[in-house]
Amino acid sequence: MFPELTGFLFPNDVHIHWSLMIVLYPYITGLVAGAFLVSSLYHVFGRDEFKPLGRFALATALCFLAVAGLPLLNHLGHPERAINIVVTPNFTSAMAGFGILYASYFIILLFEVWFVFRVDIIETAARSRGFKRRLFSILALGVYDVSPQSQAVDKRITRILAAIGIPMACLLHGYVGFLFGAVKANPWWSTPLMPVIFLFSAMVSGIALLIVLYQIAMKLKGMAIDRYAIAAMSRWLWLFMIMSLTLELLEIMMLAYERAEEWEVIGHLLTHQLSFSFISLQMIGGGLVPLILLGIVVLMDRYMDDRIRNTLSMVASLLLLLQVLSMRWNVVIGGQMFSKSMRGFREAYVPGMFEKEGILAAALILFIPFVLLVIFERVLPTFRHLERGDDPA
Amino acid sequence: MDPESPLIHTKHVFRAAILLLAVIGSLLLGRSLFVPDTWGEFGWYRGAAVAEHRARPVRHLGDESCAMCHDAEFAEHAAGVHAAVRCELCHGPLVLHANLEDGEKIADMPVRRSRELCELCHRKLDARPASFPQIDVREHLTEQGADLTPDACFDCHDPHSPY
Repeated sequence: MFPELTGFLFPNDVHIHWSLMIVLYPYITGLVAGAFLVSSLYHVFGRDEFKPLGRFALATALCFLAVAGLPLLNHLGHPERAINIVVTPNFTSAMAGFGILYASYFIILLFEVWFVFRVDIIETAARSRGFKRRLFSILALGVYDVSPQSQAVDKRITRILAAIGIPMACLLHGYVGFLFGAVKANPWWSTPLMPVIFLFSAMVSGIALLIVLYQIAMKLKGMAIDRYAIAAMSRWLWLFMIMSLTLELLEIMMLAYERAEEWEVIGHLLTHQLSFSFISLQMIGGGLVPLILLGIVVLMDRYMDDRIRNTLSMVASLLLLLQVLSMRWNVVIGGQMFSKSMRGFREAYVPGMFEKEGILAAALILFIPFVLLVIFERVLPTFRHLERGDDPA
Repeated sequence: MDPESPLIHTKHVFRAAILLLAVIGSLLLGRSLFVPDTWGEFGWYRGAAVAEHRARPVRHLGDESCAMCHDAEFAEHAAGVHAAVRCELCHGPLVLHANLEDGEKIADMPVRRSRELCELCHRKLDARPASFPQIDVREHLTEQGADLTPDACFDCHDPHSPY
């Protein structure tokens, strides 16, 4: 059936072609970029407060990156043709960057994970028998050197890889923002701020995800939640969320103050079609509330009981995860709800539960990285260095 | 390797580097296998695709071919306001109906009798020229006292030459 239309729409403005899957793709790559940053804060910049999380953050980044392409594949009518953009990229299109950025970042991340977990791989190989032993010997590339000298080499290389990884993560996610920012026909997308907004919200979602996952992991393992790690992550999260919210608001304030012809349609979009997902979720529930909660965590840190700090940061993180998801929704879907004529709207898009690109498909795709993470944790425990009390690579 | 050499503890790094080279090599090899031979011959597409498209069998033959058997419908259609709407748009491609070699009928011609088909052009849209006939289907059917059935349009309108 046709959607309800109001005002002056061109016939090709009627359908939402970039569906829930295209909302999910930048969301997942954002989680990767944010999680990677936390691991790099330890591995490159030596922030010791992130030591408990350095390995876990890296594993999280890898598990989410492994599924980042899935929403795109599900969105395509012919997923088997997806390889074409990778093998014959046409550089007059920004999308050509995908294969190169994604593959290079994936390779860097894989190698960093290998250097960080190399000693664990060797130890597992030594402990196991039969197939598992053979598998882990292959994973160790047949070298069983765990001497302090070799671990020092691992550490140096991890540092280099993580340092290369930071600009790569920024490029991968910045490019996603660039894709939207470079659509000059759409005033809701076309702004040079877009890649920057995407980057900062990526950091927010990634750090928020780690705060949530770390606390759950510690509860499940019966280990103590490190107060310094939570306090430090809350500080970074507060900083990034302030930057992210400021940029998001700046973009709208510029549009509102300039009152150019596009404001007619964008102002209406934000206060009507997107009123719930923009005002209630992105700005108030997911913006203002966590701003206050994290403000309390950061400013009153020294007076705070651990349980209150954990709870406040957990609630703020969950709200921020929702905030970033709604921000992606408002950008991707919001940008397709008005006409390029700037004089008409289509009705709000509600994805179906069981559609090919519907809610169930999205939930399943979003669930896979958590399964991968559980498997990773089984194979290579990410918190083992805490139990041993040694210094991870 | 000399046990005193400082490189003795970097053996795994060399293995990893070899693995990296192998990965890059296999990516390049994979690319050379995936990229078709005639890629880029004329532009950003497979050169052979031009000849392949040219060799594809014809499926649509245009209104004049329909007139070979259905001259009455053809004349009525050509004189009406739908003259610019091709026969095969509402009916199927001719290849489903007639043998293209000798023009013999091979099967009944499919026809799309759906309200949605009419709505593609006649649904009220502010962006269409005001002079173009367009309706709000529900409003129109209520005015005419008709039901919202899938082929409601055809109860009153003859698509060959509608008024």
